[in-house]
Amino acid sequence: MAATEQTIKQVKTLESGDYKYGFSSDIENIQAPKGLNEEIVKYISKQKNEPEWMLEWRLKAFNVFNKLKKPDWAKLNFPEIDYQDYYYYSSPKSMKDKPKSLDEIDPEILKTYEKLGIPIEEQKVLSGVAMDVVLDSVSIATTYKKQLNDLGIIFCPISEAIQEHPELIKKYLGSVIPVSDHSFSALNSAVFTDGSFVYIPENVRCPVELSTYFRINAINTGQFERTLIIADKNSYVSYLEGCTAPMRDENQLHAANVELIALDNAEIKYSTVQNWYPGDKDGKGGIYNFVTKRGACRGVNSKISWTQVETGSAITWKYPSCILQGDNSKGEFYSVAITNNFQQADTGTKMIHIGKNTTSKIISKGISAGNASNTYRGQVKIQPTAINARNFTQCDSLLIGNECGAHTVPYIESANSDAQVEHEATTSKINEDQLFYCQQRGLSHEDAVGLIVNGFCKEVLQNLPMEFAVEAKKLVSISLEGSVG
Amino acid sequence: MLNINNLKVSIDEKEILKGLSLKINKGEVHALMGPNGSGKSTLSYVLSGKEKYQVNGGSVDFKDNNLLDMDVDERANNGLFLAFQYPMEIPGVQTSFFLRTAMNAKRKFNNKPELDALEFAKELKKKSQELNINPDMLKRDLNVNYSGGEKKKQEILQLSMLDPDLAILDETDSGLDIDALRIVSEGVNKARNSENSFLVITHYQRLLNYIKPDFVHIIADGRIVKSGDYSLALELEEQGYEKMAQA
Amino acid sequence: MDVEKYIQNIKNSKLNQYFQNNLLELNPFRNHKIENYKYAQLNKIDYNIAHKNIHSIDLNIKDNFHDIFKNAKTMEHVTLDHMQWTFNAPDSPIRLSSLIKDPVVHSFDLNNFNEEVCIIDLSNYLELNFIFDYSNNEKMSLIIIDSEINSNKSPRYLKFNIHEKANIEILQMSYNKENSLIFYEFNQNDSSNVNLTALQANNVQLRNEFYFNLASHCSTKISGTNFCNLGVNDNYSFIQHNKPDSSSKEVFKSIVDHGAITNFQGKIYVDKIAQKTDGYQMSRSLLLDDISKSNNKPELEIYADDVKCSHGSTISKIDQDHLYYFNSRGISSDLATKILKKAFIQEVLDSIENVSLKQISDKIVSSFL
Ligand SMILES: Nc1ncnc2c1ncn2[C@@H]1O[C@H](COP(=O)(O)OP(=O)(O)OP(=O)(O)O)[C@@H](O)[C@H]1O
Ligand SMILES: [Mg+2]
Repeated sequence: MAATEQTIKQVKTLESGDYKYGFSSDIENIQAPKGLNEEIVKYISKQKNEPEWMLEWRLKAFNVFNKLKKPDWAKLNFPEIDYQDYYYYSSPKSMKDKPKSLDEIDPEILKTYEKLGIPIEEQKVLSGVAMDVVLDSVSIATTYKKQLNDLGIIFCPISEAIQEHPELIKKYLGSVIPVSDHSFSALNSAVFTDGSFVYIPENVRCPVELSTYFRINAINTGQFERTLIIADKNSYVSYLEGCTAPMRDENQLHAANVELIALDNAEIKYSTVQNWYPGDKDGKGGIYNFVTKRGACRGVNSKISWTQVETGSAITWKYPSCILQGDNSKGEFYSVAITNNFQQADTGTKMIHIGKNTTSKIISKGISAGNASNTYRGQVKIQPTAINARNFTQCDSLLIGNECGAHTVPYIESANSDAQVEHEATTSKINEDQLFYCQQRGLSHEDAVGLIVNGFCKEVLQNLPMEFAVEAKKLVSISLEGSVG
Repeated sequence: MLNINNLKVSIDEKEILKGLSLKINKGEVHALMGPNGSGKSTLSYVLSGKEKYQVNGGSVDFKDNNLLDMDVDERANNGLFLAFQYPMEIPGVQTSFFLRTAMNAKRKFNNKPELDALEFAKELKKKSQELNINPDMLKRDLNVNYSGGEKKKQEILQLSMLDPDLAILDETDSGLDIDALRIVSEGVNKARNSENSFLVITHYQRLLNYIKPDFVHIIADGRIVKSGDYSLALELEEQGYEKMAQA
Repeated sequence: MDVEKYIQNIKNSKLNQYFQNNLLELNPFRNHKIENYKYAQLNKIDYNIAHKNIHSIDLNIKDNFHDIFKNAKTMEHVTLDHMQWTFNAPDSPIRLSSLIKDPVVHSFDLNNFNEEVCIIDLSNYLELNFIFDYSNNEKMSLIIIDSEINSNKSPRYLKFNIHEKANIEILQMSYNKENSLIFYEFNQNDSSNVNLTALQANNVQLRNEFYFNLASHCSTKISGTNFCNLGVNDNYSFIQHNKPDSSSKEVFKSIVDHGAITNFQGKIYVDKIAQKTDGYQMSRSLLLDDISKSNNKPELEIYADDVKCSHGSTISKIDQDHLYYFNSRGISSDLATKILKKAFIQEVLDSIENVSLKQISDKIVSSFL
């Protein structure tokens, strides 16, 4: 428990530079040798004590990875990734090496907390939030386990689930994102180290928000977490994911896979606040974030809702998607993506309508400042079987300054005459009149921009669970600091 | 003319009309009043045959035929007209063209030859003048950017052009200014004769000063709860639905 | 023509080869180098269905026009060693100039033509490449008729140089085409106005690419419609705002049925210096049956901050409430559908400014529906 809290605190560390979470803890790590090859895959599997079938699965995936080319549709510019230049496994030697009390925390962190409006004591109790914390590659601690246990809810590191619930893993892992989907999904399948596993049994409404804080700590560690959430019939779960990473000059690699499965009448709400290190003002360093998130609404009346606030990473490549298979199923995607300085984001969603009466809604808000590039890319596909399907999409982009770019690339495809698809998009600059109004009432330029941008994002932010909403609002403002309006 | 017997209607599995009966004879004007959400528009939609309105029981005879068996356009061509509470805006279709198409559809249904352009124009000019409708408006797209009152007037213009046997007016009076209300009522009165019938849905007794009904019905929660003559409307104006329902 | 032979013809066409050479694998979110051809998938056409539905309409469309308007005179007929294409979008996959094999260019000086409306029938020319120059600020209307069955022809290139303050309206009519690829390029100088209306119907396979280069204070209006088609019908547009203070408005409406696939891909590109750009784009499809498909990809690529750009796209069937309203006035569903189809397109017809041109177009469109 203590370790968890400490980690949360660290996660929110403020250090020098503009990245408020950039410090790296001096933790001795157990590391696999640098590089990517079959031996590393075996090493990871061995470290995790995995059964033979899991190793085979990984090796197969590794083979697939070797055959696939990196997807290159996105409007992103970055040098070729040298997969051999990363460490694929790193684990803290001892839990005891972690800071134990507030006194050990840099006072700057506390300031950041204040800035974020979250008193540390409150954070400590953060009642109702059960955390599964991934520090580098190993889940450190899991809270609220007992309460969840009593309801039959399984919430544990995926490595543990592989040991203890092989039947669920075998049935569902890779069932939404096939290993061979693209090279990043294959890579993740081969070398994933940890992540969360959630199973909500039939007729259970998970009483707390389940949460993970991901954090990349060790130098040059690729982080490849894997999350699998299964909501059985008539169940409900809300899951929060937060990410931070320390500041480094080199680009760190991150390629997560998240799979969600909703059976009949089940609902999964998945929220992300991503503020990995974005690189410095000149575009040096920062995380390469290649994430595959996909949910399958398998059952009738099922629902999957993605909400994301993306403010970090040098490169963001991410399309949380829904496969709407069950009749009357529903997919939602709410997104705020903010890019500043030299950040590049290419993010959006895919809504694949297969079942009857399926509905989807996409609300995307992109804000681009500095020299950044921000692209919405989304696909809405109505299959011939999707009678009476409905989609509504709204994409708005905001440009701050004249060195940045904002792009909207929707793919709208329908093969059913009973379906109805609607897409709207706008691009504009920040409203001068609003800015003037706020400044006239005494707000600083920066505060005014923060306020207006927050208003622009409101529709998305209000979908976040309370615990995250406050933090996300602050993040929105902080991310734009230093941008010329 | 119209005989509704114990009609039960639901939409999206929600029951709205719960056994409604109403008989309208040739030459009669009936007024239907009732609180918001009591099912007045639902009745008018189901009579005109709008889809998604599920009939769960009862019967409706219209001129001795089973109305519920007919398609929407069949009902219209048989002489049923609904002046909508919220007339539809249809971009790209000129109002006058629409009117002409509708009139010709009816003529064709009755094995009559199509109206020639001149005849139609003359008729349209006359009727629109009676209703004080600016002819320029008829060149615009159907109801697009018409004001609330203009839309209602346009509906009544259609009514007088199509000359139905049974006209249902769903809150035609709301949105009309005082002069328009008088003009529209006169239009209705002019169309009235011993062969046709009207069902006038309204919230205001004021309209009934102009269009004198033979009968007044009060609908509440999907049923006719009280029927009477014109005095019922006056009583209602004084007491309100709440009291009337208790009485 | 029997079906076998018909299919063979199309498969052997240069156009098909062109596509095949340029299209690689066909995944969504694919390689953006050939992204512009994402939906141009000839292999997806069921030619058997297409052929069965082919309308054998001889509408005397040309006569309609020729009765009233005069042919444009050829003022110049030049041969260029190398036709220069000024168009050069930063990430355009197409090197237009590199595709031009035929060195003969037919050149028109529209300024010396003293008619209000003139007509150019492409089937009258053997050349593949055309250049048009126009510099008057008095508005002229130009009709381009493209109705030949050219399954063995190479792509055609039409380039328009619209000079400063010039004012032109162009009606592009493509119909009865079996296999066609045409590039249109518009170079608009400062303060010029172009109003392009595209009427496309009864085509089996068609792809038009429209490229616009806008200088400052230009206005561009594109209104297109596409109906009664078979096979794959593609329209691609790239509107490039290079300088400040210009506006572009594009509306594209497709009616899709009989197993046709209708695609619209359009991009508004705003350069860093093109401040105060006003860009609007709307694509709407009426999808009338389940063997047909509609794909839309409206795109915004924007590098200037003081702009107002938006796009929208819808795909749906005929509004059922509208249909009900017609029915409630005694109009049968069949007739109502016809009228509503026409109403759907009306906005495009209304964009034609020349009154007699508009009337004829209206008549032609009605005869198709
Ligand atoms: N499409 C629908 N789906 C669900 N409920 C509906 C639908 N249409 C109508 N209703 C409900 O049915 C009830 C009756 O509606 P109706 O429009 O017939 O009322 P009304 O008597 O005409 O009211 P008003 O005086 O406000 O016009 C209302 O409660 C309304 O909310
Ligand atoms: Mg009503």
